[in-house]
Amino acid sequence: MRLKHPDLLVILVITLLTLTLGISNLRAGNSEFETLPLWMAPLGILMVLFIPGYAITSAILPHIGSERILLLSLGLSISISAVGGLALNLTPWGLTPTTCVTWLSLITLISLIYAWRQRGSSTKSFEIGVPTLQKENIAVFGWAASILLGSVLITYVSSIQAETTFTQLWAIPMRTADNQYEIQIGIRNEEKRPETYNLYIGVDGRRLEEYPEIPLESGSEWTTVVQLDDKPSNSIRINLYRVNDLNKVYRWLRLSPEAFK
Amino acid sequence: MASFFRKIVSLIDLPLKWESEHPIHGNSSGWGHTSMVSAVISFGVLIISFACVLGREGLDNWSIPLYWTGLVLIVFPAALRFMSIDLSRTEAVGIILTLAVGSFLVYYMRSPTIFKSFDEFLHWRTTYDILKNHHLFTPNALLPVSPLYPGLENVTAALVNLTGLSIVDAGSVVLLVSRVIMILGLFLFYEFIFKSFRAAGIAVLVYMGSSTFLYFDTHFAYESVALPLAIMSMWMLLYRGNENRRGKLKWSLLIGLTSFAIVITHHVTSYLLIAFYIFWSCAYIYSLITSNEKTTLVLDMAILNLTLVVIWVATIAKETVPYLSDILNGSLNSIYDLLTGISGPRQLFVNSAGDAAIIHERIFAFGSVIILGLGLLFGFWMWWLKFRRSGLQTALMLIAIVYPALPLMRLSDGSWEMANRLSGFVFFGLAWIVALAFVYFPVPKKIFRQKQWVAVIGLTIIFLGGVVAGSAPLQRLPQRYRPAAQERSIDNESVVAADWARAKLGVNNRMAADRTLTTLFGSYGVQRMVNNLSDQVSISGLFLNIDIGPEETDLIKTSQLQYIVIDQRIAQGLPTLGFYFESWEQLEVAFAQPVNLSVLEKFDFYPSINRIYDSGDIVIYDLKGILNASQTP
Repeated sequence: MRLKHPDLLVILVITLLTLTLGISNLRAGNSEFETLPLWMAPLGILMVLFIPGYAITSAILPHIGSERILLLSLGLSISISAVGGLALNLTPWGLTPTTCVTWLSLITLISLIYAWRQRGSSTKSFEIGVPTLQKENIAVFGWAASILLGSVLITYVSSIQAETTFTQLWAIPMRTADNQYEIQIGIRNEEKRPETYNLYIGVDGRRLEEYPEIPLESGSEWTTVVQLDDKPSNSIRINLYRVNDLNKVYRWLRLSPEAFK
Repeated sequence: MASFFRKIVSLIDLPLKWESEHPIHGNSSGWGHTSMVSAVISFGVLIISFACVLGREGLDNWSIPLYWTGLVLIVFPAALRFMSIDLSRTEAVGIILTLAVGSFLVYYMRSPTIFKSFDEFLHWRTTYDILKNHHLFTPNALLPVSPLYPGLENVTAALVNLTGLSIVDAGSVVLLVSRVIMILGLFLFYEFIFKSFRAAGIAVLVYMGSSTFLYFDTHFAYESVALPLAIMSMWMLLYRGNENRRGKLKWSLLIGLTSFAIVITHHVTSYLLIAFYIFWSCAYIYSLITSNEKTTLVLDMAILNLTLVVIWVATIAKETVPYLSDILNGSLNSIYDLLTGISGPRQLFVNSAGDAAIIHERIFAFGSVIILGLGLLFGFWMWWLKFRRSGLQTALMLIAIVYPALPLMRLSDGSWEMANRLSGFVFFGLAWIVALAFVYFPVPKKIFRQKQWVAVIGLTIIFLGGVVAGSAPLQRLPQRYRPAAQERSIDNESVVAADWARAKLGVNNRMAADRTLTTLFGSYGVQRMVNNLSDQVSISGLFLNIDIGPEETDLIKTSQLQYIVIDQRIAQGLPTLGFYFESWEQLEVAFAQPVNLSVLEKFDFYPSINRIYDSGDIVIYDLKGILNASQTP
């Protein structure tokens, strides 16, 4: 059996799938952005940047040509998302993953119903309106697409490899609720190789604390909290050395007594 | 090799009967050479990706020639095909779409993992605030008008919400789609006017020579989405003109939706769109008086857009008026100073750090201006002969004749940026009129083939000239770290420092830093950066004065400054913009030497300032000791 409106059916399936997956995934506790699984990406991209516009165009202008429907689908989808953000801002929930997917699905489903009715009264069946590609053309197009993808991968990898190397040292003076003085100290190795550090903490040339060997893999972090008996009378000096070069201060910090106020 | 060249030359089947070729809705005879052209364009993109890799390694001697070769490979085959007689409409559309993807990737490959240009940070922050607070209009100290135009950010936030992509990845997808809308919209718009897909393709290629096309209108900022939508809405208006009353209403609904999206996305685009509609309406009324030509009236859309803009500015975006009038005043004053001899002309092709453009870049830039100037001249003649009684064509011509002012505005320090930004709008008319010259310029039949080649080379030079005019050499390719050089000063040490501040110090602490770190900490770091635009205080003296005296401590107290961030590497080089912290510095001191490191290190010796972060080059100081001292009785 040949479907009369396969495009609308595909749109309907994607919309319902995105709506269901989106809401169920968010119900599972992933309410924050950037926490959705990667496989949601293609569906989400279609749902935001193509499907609402396609559904509206199919409903309002059912017989428009192929590249025109592409332009309108993309442009109207962007317009709907832009204006939709404004509408959602007026609701108490604002722009959350749930409200976004609901808004876009609602627009799409209403448009689809209208498009189905429009097409139902028409004798024309769906035509994509693009000439068929020959085999050799498909091969060259595939080759071109692979080159484009390869180009992006090359620059992506090279941009990561070209990153500078360094070590972070930080110290945050704190005064706790029960009037205790403490310092949160941290080291992070971004040297792109394992490194062993020596950490010295002192006041007036007197050693408060020393960590002679702190081995850290590349990309890993070490933190500690140093408790002070009393508010320091003078500045605290924190020196970081690499164990293979203990004569040279690699990173250093200084905390004055006022820092603990 | 000889057969290869014969094959290339055979692509141009001459003589070309321009005016009797395929009608607008005629048969499309297959994909033609689309696949081959796509392959060559993608090869151009691949070469530019190698240029990016070599640029990151500091091998500029190789990366720069490769970059220009790649650009030629992207535009030349497209120009060649649009000048060939056996071009089919499907092929034209296929090439246009490939050009859209290819031109986007040239921009994207500079920095695929993070946004790096100044404006991108500002809009990243607005998007982040929407995602974090779930509501619009959170104040943005880096660019106070950005949250008032949240169109781009709404789309990006929706994409982040539905895909789980990062803001950078989601934003890049939005920009790619916007680029497709722009190029396809331009093509369909020009095709409607010319009644020829070939001429439309040529006009798109001319438009690609706009100085904003390759970089400015592709970066993550509001114009990159608003301009494509504006182009699409103008095409929709043309299409609406051919419909019956019921059809007109349907199109009007869609145009109204798009217009609203434009109004809430970008101020200048919506204002210029209204101006164009008014030009168009006036020219239409003129054409009604002078001829019986049936064109389309767009006054209703001009009124609709104007109403939406007035409501938006009056209710939401009041700050836009002083923001834009300051910029406009600055530009006009600068032009006045130049014309009256108060200030000298800006030195072209050289930045404040003394980096000069290489010779072929100057040739492209001047070549492009000359070709466009001649095209405007001949196109004007064609317009006078064929279209002077046509409303839309006259409106396009009125826009195009602004072009000669753009190269002149580049001579002034205060107006060159405005000239650059106007380019994307002026080229909308200019591309039509220059394409008119390319298509209709009469030549004897025996030199028709030469005309085709001249046109192909001319279109390529226009594109390359636009790249030179629209981007500094430092911005085109990723290069090794360089101090005080805008996006080249952003490396992962500075990005990680901004991330650290957000994670360990919390968000919205009041901080100050140099221009580069201000944008980085104000965006990725989610800090409240103290600056002249939002706080009406000047922070330069705090960093550049040789010691910390009462004036500096007063500044810290009055601006409630909690932290300062210093990238000590700025002492290694002159700033490419002419200043390190705030633009007025270049008016007071022309930096002949980089700032002295000891001036930046003075904070190490002030007793109540705490050095709390050190990553080798970047140091963060906690000023709460000074703030707390002021609160102690």
